[in-house]
Amino acid sequence: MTNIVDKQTYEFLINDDFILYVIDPASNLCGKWDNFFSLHPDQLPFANEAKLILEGKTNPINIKTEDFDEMKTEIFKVCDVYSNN
Amino acid sequence: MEQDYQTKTTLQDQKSIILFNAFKNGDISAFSKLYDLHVGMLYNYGYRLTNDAELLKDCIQDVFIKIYNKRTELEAVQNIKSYLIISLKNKLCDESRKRIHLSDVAVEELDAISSDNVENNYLAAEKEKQNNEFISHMLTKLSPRQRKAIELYYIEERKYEEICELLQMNYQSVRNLIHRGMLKLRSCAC
Repeated sequence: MTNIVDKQTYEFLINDDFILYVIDPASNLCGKWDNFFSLHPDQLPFANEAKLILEGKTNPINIKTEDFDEMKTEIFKVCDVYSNN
Repeated sequence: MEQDYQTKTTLQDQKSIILFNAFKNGDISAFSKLYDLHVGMLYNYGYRLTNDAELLKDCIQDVFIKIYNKRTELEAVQNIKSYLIISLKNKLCDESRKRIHLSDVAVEELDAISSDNVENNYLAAEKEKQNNEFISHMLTKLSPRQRKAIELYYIEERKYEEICELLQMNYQSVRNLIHRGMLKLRSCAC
């Protein structure tokens, strides 16, 4: 897999606990990560970048709407959605 | 600006929860809306992990297909957004590992076939015969172009570039053709 973010940012992006900490407030992981960042303040810039990506606050990647539509059509075809329902 | 974003995010999260609950209760139209709501976010996230756009699209498709097929088993999932992100991340990692692993398996398989043990050879031949019959049967489920592309890629082990020339298609179309063929084979095999 080719990373197109810093290795440290990448490590946060693939960490399940970090993803839950950012995305899911019910995960109760704030204490764990607050403690981690107090011990490793050097990791904060990378964590913040990963947080922005997970929250969708970075510039969106250019992709055509038709590509998403094509993917959706394919998913529905494979799942046989309409004939099943 | 930040407040606008927070409001938008909260509304999206609420919408996501409503749609996901509806989907878990059997509302299939909610599945379509969940896709529309989250596909952009997933693509933006995945693009930070890989620059292979086709692999990323394939993995996103697989994630939604899995969710649809396992919709009766999603009761424990509370947050669909984190579930989607983690599923996509796992899928991308699996696919990358698989690509590395596949080359090792091929070497091991060659060793096994070269065994002098007669019984093993017989069993291997029988198994291969059964596999070939199964594959031939499965290939009839595909469109002629899908079948040709898959035969060229997996059986004749041609490169994408060669297949493009033979089928007079561009690179992207060949990849899509093979991917769709494989998805169809997978769904038929289940």
